[in-house]
Amino acid sequence: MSCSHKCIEAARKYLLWCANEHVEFRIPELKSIASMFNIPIKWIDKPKEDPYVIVEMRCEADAKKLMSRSLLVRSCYELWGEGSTEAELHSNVRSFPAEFMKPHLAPEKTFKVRVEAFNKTLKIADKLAKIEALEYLPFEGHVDLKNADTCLHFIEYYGLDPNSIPTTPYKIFVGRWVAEGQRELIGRFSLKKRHYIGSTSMDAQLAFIMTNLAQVQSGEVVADPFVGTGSILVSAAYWGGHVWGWDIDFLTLHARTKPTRHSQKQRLSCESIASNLEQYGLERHYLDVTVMDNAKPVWRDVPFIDAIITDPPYGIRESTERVGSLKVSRPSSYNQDNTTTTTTTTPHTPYSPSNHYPSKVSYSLSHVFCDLLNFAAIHLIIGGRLVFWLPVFREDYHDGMIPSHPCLELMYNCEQVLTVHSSRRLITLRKIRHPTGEETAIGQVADLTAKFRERFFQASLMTKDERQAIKSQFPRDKRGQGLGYRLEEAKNQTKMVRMDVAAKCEDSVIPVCETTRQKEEINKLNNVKTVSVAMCETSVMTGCEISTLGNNDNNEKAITTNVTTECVTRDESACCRHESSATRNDTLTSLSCTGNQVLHNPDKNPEGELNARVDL
Amino acid sequence: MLTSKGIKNVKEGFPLKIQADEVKNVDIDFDQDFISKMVPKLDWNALIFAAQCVGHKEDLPDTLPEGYENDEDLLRKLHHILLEVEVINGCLECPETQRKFPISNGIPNMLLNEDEV
Repeated sequence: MSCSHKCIEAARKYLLWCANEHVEFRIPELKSIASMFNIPIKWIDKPKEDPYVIVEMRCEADAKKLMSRSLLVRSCYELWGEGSTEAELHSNVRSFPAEFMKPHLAPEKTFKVRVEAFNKTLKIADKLAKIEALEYLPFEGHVDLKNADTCLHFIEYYGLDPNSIPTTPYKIFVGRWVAEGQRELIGRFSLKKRHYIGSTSMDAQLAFIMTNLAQVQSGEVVADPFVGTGSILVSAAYWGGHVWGWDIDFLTLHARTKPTRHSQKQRLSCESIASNLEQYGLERHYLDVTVMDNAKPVWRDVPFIDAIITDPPYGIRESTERVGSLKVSRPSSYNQDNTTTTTTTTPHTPYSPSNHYPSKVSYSLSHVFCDLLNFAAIHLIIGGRLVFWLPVFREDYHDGMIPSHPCLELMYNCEQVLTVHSSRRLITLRKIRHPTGEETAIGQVADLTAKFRERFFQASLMTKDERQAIKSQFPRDKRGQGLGYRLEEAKNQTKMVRMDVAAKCEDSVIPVCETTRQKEEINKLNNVKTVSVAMCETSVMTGCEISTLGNNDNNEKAITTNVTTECVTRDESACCRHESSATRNDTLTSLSCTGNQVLHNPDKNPEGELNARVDL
Repeated sequence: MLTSKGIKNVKEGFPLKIQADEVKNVDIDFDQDFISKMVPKLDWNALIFAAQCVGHKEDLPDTLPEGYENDEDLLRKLHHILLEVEVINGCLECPETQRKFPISNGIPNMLLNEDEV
């Protein structure tokens, strides 16, 4: 490595101040950039939700390289000390090796100290006091507030919740500023200023994150099989990739679709994918765009693509289509007719699309993804990456839904929350070997994801109250960005309350709330409408009675003692639903089941679980 | 890179014959690294055939010479034919069925009709 001579020094700790959005993408992005540049990174503490990540790197050159690509790190500091209290911090800073500090505080170096706080506004007087407290540092140079050689930052972290700001910070850091990340690209490449956009153009920040996960580097061939308006190509070209995009939609590629910009009536003649690249001076990275059907690839079977980065249509805003016809029989002479019309048209309108517009049939999501993976397995070079979005219905999601291929290895899977019900997951796959024989992609994703559109609209038919109830269950931060793992946790606490009641549930009272925390969680559900008891893979339940006990105004009383209204029996599980009349302030405390006709099937599942599920 | 093998009964469908009605020459900065990376991915005969079709064969050799990575002169010529010669209007023709794929505004349309797939 070029910086080996510097690396004789011991590795140092660096503080990465990350952007407080797209939290799930943060670590995958950093790891991708680090592996692309061969930068060894040691993670000092387990990355958490808070925007500070401490890592150990060999030298400052590595840190700067990392920052030259990162969209999700705001700035990078060489960490001089950290602590939960000021005393701890200062004792740490004092023990920071003087030989690391000295060169930056030497007489010829100008310096400044900045005090910054996360989630709190500090008063000038407080800031000054904090700067004064650092006077034990061996400053020898002059102060320069504009162009200082050395910028020391005093950073205080007051948590993420703007509604409960503590009086003293959770964490304090002192560090020397090293480099800024690439967040300015977000504004520079904003879609607001982009020449040609459509209804599903990719947000600039996400497009850059995708290209980072795909490790696009100068001189590589990057392809987008669902190119649309080419928003992903712009980011890939910015990092030096040579871009090739294709799409089935002739009108989109020729920029003849209806404009999506507010107040724009007609597409301008200058709008095109190529003009988007020209806008940023990236036209030299443009290979071509092609009208093509992903279900019928027309590529020579050679691996020539370094990265495939794409956002397939979900069938919500953009339809999923491929060429085909539902008709079984058709005149056989048609093919020849069409070829002749194409060749005999007049020269000035040689091949206008109106000659024939092939009919399209719906292209199910599972096929979209399987074709994409198969294409990637053949045409990516070994080590090349495929990065794509997978739309999911959050309640149904499980890891098995990610389409897979024996030649592609899953690298990362990060969620971006779209609505309370739906999200999309950015999947990063890496090609490990060339496919042999008939190896093809497996799309177990199929059934659930294929219903995405249906479920998406079904969800939008919910009443306001129902939606409100679900919202409290899936907290979203202010910007609506996904805090996926936190949500997963919340989901487990509230949705399924698992009880260790097996075969004998006759007349047994099943405690729904075993701990106070669960009690609170259920309380949050507010509008409990349906309570269902499901005997998962164990038994068949017929005509059992369920009643719920509620806690109204802290007085324990039965809010309902209802009987079964509906019994659903399926092959492997049976669930019994009934409507309870719980109201907003009721707390559901217990649920009793008087199922005298509950039949347990020990062969199927000897341990048999009885789950009470609170449906909304 | 493109073939017509999507058509029923077409086995290889490569190389497609380019019929250029309107060709534009654009100026693009030379990137030696990219071109030398790209060359081994291409089918040389197909490239020469394509260059002939658009009338830019010039003095490209019929076989790929050894040590092309360091032959800047050759790489510059390849750069020109690969990136700077752009077919604006024309068509690509399948060698087996003579099915033509139109190119308009520099965008080839490889879509097949529903009865051809």
